[in-house]
Amino acid sequence: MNIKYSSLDWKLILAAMLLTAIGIIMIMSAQHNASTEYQQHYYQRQLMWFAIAFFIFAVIVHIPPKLFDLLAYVIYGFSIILLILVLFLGSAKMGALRWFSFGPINFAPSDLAKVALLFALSRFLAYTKLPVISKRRMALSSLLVAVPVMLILKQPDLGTALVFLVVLFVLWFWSGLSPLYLLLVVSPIISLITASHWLAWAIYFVLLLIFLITTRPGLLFGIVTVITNLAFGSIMPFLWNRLAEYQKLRILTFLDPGRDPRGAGYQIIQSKIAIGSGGVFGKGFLNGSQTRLDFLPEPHTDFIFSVLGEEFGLFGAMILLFLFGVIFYRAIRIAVHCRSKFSSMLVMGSAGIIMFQFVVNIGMTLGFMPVTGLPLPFVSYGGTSLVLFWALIGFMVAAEARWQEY
Amino acid sequence: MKLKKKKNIRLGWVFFFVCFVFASVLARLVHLQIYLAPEYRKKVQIQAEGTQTIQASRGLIYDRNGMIVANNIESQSLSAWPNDKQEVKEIASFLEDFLNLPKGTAIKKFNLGVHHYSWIKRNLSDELASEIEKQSPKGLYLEDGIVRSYPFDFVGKQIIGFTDIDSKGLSGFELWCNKELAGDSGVFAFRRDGKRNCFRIREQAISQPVPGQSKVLTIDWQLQEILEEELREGVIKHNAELGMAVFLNNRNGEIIAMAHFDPNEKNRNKPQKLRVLTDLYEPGSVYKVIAAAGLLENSIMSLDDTIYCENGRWQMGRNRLRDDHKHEWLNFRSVIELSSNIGIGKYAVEYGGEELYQLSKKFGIGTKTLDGWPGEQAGYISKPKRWSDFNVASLSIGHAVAVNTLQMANVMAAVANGGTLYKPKLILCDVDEKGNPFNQQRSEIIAELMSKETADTLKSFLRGVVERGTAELVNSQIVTIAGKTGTAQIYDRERKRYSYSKYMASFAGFFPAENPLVTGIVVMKNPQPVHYGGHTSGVTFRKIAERYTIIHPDLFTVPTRMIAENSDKIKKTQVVPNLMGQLLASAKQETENKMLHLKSTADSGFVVWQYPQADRLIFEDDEILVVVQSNDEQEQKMADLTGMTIREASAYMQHLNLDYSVTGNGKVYRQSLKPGAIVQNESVCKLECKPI
Repeated sequence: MNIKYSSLDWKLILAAMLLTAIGIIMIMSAQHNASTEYQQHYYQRQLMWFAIAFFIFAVIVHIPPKLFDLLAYVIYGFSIILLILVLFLGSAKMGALRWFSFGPINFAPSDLAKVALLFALSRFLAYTKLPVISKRRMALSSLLVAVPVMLILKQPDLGTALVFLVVLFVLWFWSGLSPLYLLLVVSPIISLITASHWLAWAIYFVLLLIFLITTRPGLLFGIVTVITNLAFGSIMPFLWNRLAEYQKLRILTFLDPGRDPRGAGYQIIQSKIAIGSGGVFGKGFLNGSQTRLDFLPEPHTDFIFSVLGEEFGLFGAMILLFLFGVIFYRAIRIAVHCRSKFSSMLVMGSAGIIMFQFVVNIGMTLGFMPVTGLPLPFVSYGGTSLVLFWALIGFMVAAEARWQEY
Repeated sequence: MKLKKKKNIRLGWVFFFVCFVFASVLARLVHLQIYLAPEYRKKVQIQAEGTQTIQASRGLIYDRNGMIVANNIESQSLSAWPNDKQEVKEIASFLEDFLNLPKGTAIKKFNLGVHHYSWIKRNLSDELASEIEKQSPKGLYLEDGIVRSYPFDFVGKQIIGFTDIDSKGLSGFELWCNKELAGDSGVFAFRRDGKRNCFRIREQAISQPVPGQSKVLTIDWQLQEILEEELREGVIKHNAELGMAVFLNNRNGEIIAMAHFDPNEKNRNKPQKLRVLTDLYEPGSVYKVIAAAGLLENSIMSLDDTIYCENGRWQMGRNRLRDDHKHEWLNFRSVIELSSNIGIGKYAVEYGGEELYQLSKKFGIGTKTLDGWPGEQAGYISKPKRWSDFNVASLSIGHAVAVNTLQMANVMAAVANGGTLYKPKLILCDVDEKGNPFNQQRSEIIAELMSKETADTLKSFLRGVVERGTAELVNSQIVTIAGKTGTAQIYDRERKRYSYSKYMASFAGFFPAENPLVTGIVVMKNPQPVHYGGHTSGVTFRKIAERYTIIHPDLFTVPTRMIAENSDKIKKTQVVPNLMGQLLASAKQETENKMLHLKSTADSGFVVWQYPQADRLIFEDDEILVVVQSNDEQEQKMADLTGMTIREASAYMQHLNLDYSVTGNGKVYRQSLKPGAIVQNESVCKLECKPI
């Protein structure tokens, strides 16, 4: 159980700590002149949450990953039960059943489910004897993901559900699936998106056919891909009607933020204005007019990167990017380095979650991606989210500390 | 080895992906924060910063005696800015109750909507405002504002004009002088947040408003009121379509009063033209004074010469000139007094068309009088290519020329004052915030038109017009009037010839004839059935002149009160209280509270009449005259008028509807109807006055 402190990946820990610190400072700025004192003290709560997160991180570091390996399916099962329970007992916020409320503390079981799925998938893919492209392997691992995804879509929380899919793809890839196949698996989703316009879909479909003919991934695979693409493309209008009004709005707004500048497109426009007006060096701490004057929505959670971009400019944003870069670099190093296949999977999956949320959140603030409500790892305000990401760092550090163990 | 190679390829993919993500994020950041930064900074400014103007208080307008004729009063306005649908509903139901509207109409009527600003009612009375303040729901706001008020209602309103709801000049003097009256509005900067709340970021405005300049007009509001009353009465009595009148001080060109009255003009509460400046007419015989001045000045004839007046018909080629009455041989004086068109026409032909044309121009015909007055018409003289005798004769009798009323009054003023043409003046001076006059407007001489001798001769002719000529009805017992009548045919546009039934009847003159102070003109369009200027406009002129003389025995010989006295009086004006029906004692109390004096006709009883009327502005220490009567008396009893000014006494006489005459000037010392005598309708009271 004992580990040497010198064997810990301090660079990784430092990067995560600095990101958390930046987060706390930005939360302070974002809520500096909020209407209630409670909101003004968000940064203190975040600080407290950091203490909790760091404690959990420290505990995880001391637990050998083998234990998670053993308990993976138990934890997975437990989290599925919680996901079911939250649909009945959870408290509703903004039309979604996502949280258990314990007094002032809100606990989202979907965050635990992320970890649980990580364990279960890592274990399954690490030990399965099935060949990489076997249909059974794909089907079984998909099933592991499908159960929590269904439950989370029921809440509904599209953003988190996507995280689960990302974990699946990352681990498929890391367990040996060729990126080519991955692309073909992802292709029905692209088909789904492009189907909103028949011409876009037609062009995409032609491109797909050309791609299949040139790469020759196998006849059966090719036929399946074409059929699924066709199917997804044709059910698109049906699916579209099934989406909640706000989800439709988000997608439409993402495609054209200017269509309703006072309404749904407002957030993206204001975020871009905030970041753009920050310029190279920013307006200075507590001087961001977009944040100060309430133009920026949710400045302490979803749009915290916009606050940073406004107050510290390109310079501040690059520091943040650098710190994330350090985290990914160290994570990949560990994943390659450690001998245990389960640990490697766990670390890569963790990095995948962080990467996905990073891309989606920053992409959203920059106007690349639709508004999903996924927080920026380490930086955004939110207790369970902070605990989750520090737990992920914990897995990485623990894996590195015991890299030689199988 | 193979495994290792595969792992390396996978690593390559990972690095490629991570680098791709970082590169695109970085590229986007550079794009936004460097390339698009100026654009986004501008957007921040536009959405978060704004400026608001601070209204400057509008300059006041005083009459020549320092009475406020256009004032600013504070008022409150009600507006709505609901925050949500609930508030919209509450506001709507409140307004429906409060304003007694049918259910469900308020939203549409006031255009209520979430985050939509709408005016509900402007210029609320104080009681209404405080009532609303007590019980109004959220989202309704009372805003302080300033509105223009005119203490004299419609008196002189044609001159003052109107402002719009934001105190911007729309017509008349308010428009003419808008720039000076309005002042400069100030600016303060504010920041706005995403929830549309506004903050002032600086305590002090970026620029403070500069209050508008207060102005003193040359108009005397009392005389203005008299003019309007008499003009109205005259127009109605003579069934005219329109009456116009201008009176000015002929010694310096100050306009004392001017107005028009159109019986068809129903709504007086909207901006209207000042038609004495904007309407043109053919002056007719009044214009003969210009020709006469030219003839006398150039000694075209000697005063003893006579001229043959063709027995009323003078054939000139295809054209014919007529006289109203047939004359044979007349001397020049008679030509003017009897207004012979043929006589003056013949002399004018001798004088020459070009000369007459140039002289007319010198008299100001075809030149605007008040520079830039909205809609003023300069008038015109048609100048033929070659002057035929008929053209010259026509011009001399005021045909083929169009003037506005003020121009014609000014022509007569030049004759009255001995030959000097002044530029008509409407602004006397400016007043600073403490009420001190400054920037007094000098009288501007446009031209010296004739020698004093010529003017005196012409004036004696014009006196003759009144004494024995065409304007005998104008002759007054109270004041000596001189002047010239004009009865011009109106050009009928449809038939393209002069009408034989419609006339422009005018009288222009001055008084007192020996030493003229005031010159005026009264014009009536198409009076029926009598259409002679001497019988219609002339009579109105006489009545106005008489009443002016009674009110101001010292008519304008002293500088105006505004300038003469150390004008701090301007600040101490009082509103005349309504004393009607009160017991004398309580009336006395009320006037004393207002620092005014009370003068009553008896020692006890109820007030049945007062002068000036309630709500007028007068100065402190001024007197209010009241007539009191005890309760049981049915008949009107004559009051003791001893010691009253002619002005007060005449106001009292008008109240009693009594005919009266005044001799002398100063204050009343004897009255023919003794105090306490029962007043009968047909009785006449003779007042004898002497200076005290």
